[in-house]
Amino acid sequence: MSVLKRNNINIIGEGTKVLLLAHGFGCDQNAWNRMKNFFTQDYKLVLLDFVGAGKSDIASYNPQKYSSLDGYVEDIIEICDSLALKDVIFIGHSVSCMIGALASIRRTDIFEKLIFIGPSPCYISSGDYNGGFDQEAIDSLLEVMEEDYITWARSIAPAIMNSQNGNELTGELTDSFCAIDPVIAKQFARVTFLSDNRKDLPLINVESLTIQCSNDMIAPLSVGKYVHENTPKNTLTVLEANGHCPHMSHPNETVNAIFSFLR
Amino acid sequence: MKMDKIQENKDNSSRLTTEIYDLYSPPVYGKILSIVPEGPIADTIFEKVFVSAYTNNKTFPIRSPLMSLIDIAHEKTHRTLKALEIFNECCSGATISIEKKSST
Repeated sequence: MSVLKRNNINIIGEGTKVLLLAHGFGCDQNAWNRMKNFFTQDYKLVLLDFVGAGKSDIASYNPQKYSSLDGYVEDIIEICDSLALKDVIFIGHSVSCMIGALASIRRTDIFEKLIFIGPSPCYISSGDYNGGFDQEAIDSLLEVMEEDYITWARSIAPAIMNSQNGNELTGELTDSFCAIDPVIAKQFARVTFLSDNRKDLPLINVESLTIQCSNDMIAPLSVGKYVHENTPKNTLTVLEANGHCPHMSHPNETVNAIFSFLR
Repeated sequence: MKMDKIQENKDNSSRLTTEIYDLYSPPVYGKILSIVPEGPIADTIFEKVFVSAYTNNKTFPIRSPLMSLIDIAHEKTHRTLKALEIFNECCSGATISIEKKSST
């Protein structure tokens, strides 16, 4: 199984400068559908599905390898090596931000810049750190994921859950289909929400941008500020957009922030 | 839910008796339905309420068991909703297609 098939690599765009786009938990590369066309004229876009998402090769899933973010970091590096990518601009959403950050620490020769959309180095609050969740909330999430959680999540009206933009997106994103394997997603959730990469932030040695939504329940402003304050050469941009997926819900504002950083 | 499921690990000194279950099931289920619609979510939470009361037998009160069960139901229902909210926010409400693939 080739790396490119394993991660369902798709390459589009007319430019030479590489943007490597990595989706977050619960998504696949279709998450970039609303944003990618802004870049295709000037960049080469490399799109991927992490194993267990989208059209990746599910048979390649190895629970031991993917029991921590390191397995996903390894995949990112293998993709870059397979395509002989250099001076890559990595754009990650949510958990992928730390995956890209760890990859850049491990292989300083590959990455030129990192762009974090809704990053969090640690989702659980402790001491002075406000990660947005207490341990109990994450335990509940993992407990619910033992049930038929995808059906449940789809069956509950956004109004009942006080969702920040679920109504809008559910109505608008009819062309966006993110596919995840429910079993693999459970382990990915555990790896994602129990990870703590705060100690790695000071080790990031490339220029980076943190794109933070003004009201994000998954990665609140306190987390974005923490990333900014603890990452060398980091720029923080706070969007007016709400929610955790501004690249899907507010693509124009997100793209403007990225262009401002890249120019 | 069958009482048998609760009693899988039956302890003869259990404070959660069949009588309590029969008596308080309707108001507990009603409490859950006041927060989430009838269906698999409500049924699962309902089951977990009594399993929780049973497995935490030593702290389950002999007096005012109804209030205790209602409190557990309230907490578990809201925690479940919060978990689903987290999941939906991660997926941003996008339509998720569950592909029927074999998993390792």
